Amino acid sequence: MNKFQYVKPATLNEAADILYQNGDEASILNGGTDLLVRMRDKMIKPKVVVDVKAIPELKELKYTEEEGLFIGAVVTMNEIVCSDIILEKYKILAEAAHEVGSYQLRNRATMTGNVCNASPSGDTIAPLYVLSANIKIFSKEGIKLVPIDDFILGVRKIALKPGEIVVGIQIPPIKGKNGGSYYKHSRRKDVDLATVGVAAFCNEGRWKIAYAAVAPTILRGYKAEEILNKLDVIDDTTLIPAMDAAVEEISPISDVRASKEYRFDMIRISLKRAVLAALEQYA
Amino acid sequence: MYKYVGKDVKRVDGLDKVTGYTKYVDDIKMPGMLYAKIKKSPYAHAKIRKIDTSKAEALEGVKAVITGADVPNRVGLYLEDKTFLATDKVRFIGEPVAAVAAVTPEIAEQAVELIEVEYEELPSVFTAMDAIKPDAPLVHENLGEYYHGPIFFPKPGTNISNHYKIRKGDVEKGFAEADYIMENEFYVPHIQHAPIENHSVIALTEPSGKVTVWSACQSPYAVRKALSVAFNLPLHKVRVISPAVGGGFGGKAGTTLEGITIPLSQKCVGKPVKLTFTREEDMICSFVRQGCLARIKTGVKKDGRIVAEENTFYWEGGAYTEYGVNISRAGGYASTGPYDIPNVKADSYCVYTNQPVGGPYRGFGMSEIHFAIEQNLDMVATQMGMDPVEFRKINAIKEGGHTVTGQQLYNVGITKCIEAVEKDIEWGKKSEPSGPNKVRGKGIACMYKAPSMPNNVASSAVIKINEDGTANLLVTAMDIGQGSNTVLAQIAAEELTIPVEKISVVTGDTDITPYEWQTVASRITYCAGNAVKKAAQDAKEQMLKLASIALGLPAEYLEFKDEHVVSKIYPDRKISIASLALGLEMPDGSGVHGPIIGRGSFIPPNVRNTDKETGQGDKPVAFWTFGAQAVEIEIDTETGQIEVIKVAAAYDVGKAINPQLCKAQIEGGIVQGIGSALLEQQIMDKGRVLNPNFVDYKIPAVSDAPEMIVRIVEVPEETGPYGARGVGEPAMVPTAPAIANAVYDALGIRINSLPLSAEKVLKAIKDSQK
Repeated sequence: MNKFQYVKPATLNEAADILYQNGDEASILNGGTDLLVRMRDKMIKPKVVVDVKAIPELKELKYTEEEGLFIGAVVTMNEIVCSDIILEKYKILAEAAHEVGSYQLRNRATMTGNVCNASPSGDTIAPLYVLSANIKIFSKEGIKLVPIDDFILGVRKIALKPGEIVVGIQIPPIKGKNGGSYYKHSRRKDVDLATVGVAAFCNEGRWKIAYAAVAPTILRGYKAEEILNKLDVIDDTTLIPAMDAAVEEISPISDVRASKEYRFDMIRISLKRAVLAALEQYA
Repeated sequence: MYKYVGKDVKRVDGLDKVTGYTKYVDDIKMPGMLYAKIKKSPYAHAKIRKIDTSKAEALEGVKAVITGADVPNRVGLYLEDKTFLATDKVRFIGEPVAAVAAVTPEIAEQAVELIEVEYEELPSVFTAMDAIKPDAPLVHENLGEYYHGPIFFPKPGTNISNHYKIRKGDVEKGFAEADYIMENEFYVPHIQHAPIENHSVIALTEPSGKVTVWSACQSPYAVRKALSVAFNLPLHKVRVISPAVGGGFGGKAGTTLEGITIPLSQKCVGKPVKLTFTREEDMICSFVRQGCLARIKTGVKKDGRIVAEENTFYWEGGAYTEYGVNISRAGGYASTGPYDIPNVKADSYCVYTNQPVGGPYRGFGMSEIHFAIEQNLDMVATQMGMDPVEFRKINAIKEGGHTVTGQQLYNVGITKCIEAVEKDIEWGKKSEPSGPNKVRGKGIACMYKAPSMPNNVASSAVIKINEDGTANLLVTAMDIGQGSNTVLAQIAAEELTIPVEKISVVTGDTDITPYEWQTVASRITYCAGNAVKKAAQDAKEQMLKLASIALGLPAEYLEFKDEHVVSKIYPDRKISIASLALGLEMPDGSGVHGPIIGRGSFIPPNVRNTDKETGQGDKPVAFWTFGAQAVEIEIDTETGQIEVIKVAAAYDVGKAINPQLCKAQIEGGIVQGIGSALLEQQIMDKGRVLNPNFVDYKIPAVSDAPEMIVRIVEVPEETGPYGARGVGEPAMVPTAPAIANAVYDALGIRINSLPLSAEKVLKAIKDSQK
């Protein structure tokens, strides 16, 4: 690992200054579960590592009827898995957070970190797409909210400029009947990356679908959603057109985890299982 | 009957390990310690034209740089085909070509990047079948000049570093008599040992030239021997200490990083040099399990008797086969599995390829060949319309039956093992799948294994009796997790009548602990166990003489009981072991004999060479361990995922010295077997390892462990301590073929290669529907 300067600012302003002054040479250290691996492998060589875990605003986890859920940037996956309000109102998020890495890793890893790492297989990102999450960003100019699908630009590419820092994730309140589920297909049951993932969420009969690990970014399954929205009865048979649509919507690659062909097969099964599991939650 | 043997004594090393106290090599820090890093080959096969180390040497903080020129001697356990750093050419991607010692690991790493190597790329070979072609590029042009053990048969001018042959009976005649003849082919890929502790070594050269290495190694004495050859040092000037081994599975059996750290330390006398492999290096630059292609031709009579078999194994040995040649030999002399077949022709070829180095791995060839043998058996049984269990019972070696080398066997427990797993898995009974798109199946596989070792390998033990009646047991058998410290203490306790907690086990220091060939081959309980038993008996004989004087009774009227020497007739006439420990004090105040030190030596009795041309011999191995496993699996037919629900295992261990540890060993083996069956494969592209990390090399997690029913069968081995045989490696051998057989039972589909990944299973399901 290369030498670097470690700083731990206590306020958002201080952090923004450091990030602005150092531009591309600074990296934000949150849980560190992705950053440190990339530094060890020399994929990145930051000169300044900015630890944001001392900034009070980033530690918040709160819910209001008006604004919905706010998950501060440094809230860990295990905190999310164990949050009563998330389990009650956004179970799909707790489910997805529980899929990330191992228990030990989830003590460090954060959902904001997962989003900012912008890996196509990031387990919590697809659920955030179907929940229409916004990324809350601080800069000296003020606070702005960016929809998650505008925030994630590509593999490990996000819309964050020098001097900007993610404060947390804002998820709108959900009104009416709803249910959601994240289905992850992986080689091993635990502690594995998604070979294919599907998040399915239904609110008052309207579906939102997102696919993971089958394109450079998480993809919304607009075609599948359209088909699902028209279905009166959802079961193994009536789901087939939506499963066919999913295949058309993705552009997977072959890698050491699976071939492209297997990913096409698994998107069908994952979509079916995610939708059926979401229906079981629907209430 | 026994007080300590056969009891679930708690692990003597348990507390230190669970509290994190145990110090492994990488935990050791010494004053003035330097850190080493290696420069690795980016080519699978290339001539080294030039190495320029000047920039690295000039970097501040760099204390030594070495290249192949510094380590020119060829070494190897069975075939001296390797040097610790590449000299003339590189033979696999990741092969070390140079090394640096510096004051920090970071500087060492930086220095490695400054070393400039000029290569001339050569054509490479990546499969055994390509490598045996007449026009294949040679991985070792000088194979004919390499020193090797007399039981190995390299073919100079080819890539075949060993050809082991079995010619038993008349195979032509056997096939002529057969009612059915079937041929099948199987393949197992390279896999990783994946111990929790990476390879790590510290070397220190003293001003006198004496070298000490602290090495996470299974076999300190074998390592010492190899190092003495490599560095032209007499044995007393090489000290190998193995402080603790964080999992070996065979991967720490031979020499590894010692050969790189020693020459660095010789250039920095007085300063310890540490080299710890990263996980990636561990997975690329150290031993892996070899790939193996197996072809089996079987001739069967209508009544189910196999009358002829022709087996050919091609081992993908990688760039160096100093150890791998013996795996091919083991595959040869066990080539039919635990079955009595009168006519056999077997050829086992160890083949060089430009891939990571194949080496010992738990099972030592048996997992690979049994994957083929046991699936083949099921395929033959299916064709004949016979039940796989019945078919195995017909052909299994019986009392007085013969192995493939013509050895006649007695005390054979294989049928008992088959019966046990048949019952425990409820063979023949179908259970309900857990949901739609799920199917279930059951499968069985058997195995046998002998310790794969030269005939006359030796063990020894020393027991020092202390003046308070406690004892120190000195051995170089290494506790690599299998529990040998506990088991050997139990044996000493049983003989001496001293409780286990009063015996301290000291291991792994070639200057202090007595000779042990290697901790491999599932041989420690048997070999070291016998040595410990003899050492205890030796100590007892000394104490008996003294007790006889003290008690005024002939020695034959005395026995050991509860830490005392006691009269068999008058139990109140006794003397404690404590009072004999330093010799006997006479009534006039004088003393006789002095401290009691028991010594025990052991070599497996009467193990002899086999015939070079036929492989036949009446006792080529010390003993055979037999076992069987039956599994129940559930397959998700939409995804191809296999879940192992239940595994029933039964092994004839002769005598379980510690039943709890024995069962734990078997459970561990089953889980490792499941890993090799479902998940594990070193994925390679033209010699480059694509998954040298745990992100993409998956071993089973705790949630992958099935319900396990483990049965211990005890048909005593007459040469074993208390009848014990080894079981460490046999534990994982039948799991993968049993699962493959269960896949067939569930789906009617045969998959002839490992791993049975979800993707592969789904593809097979889809292909079968076409």
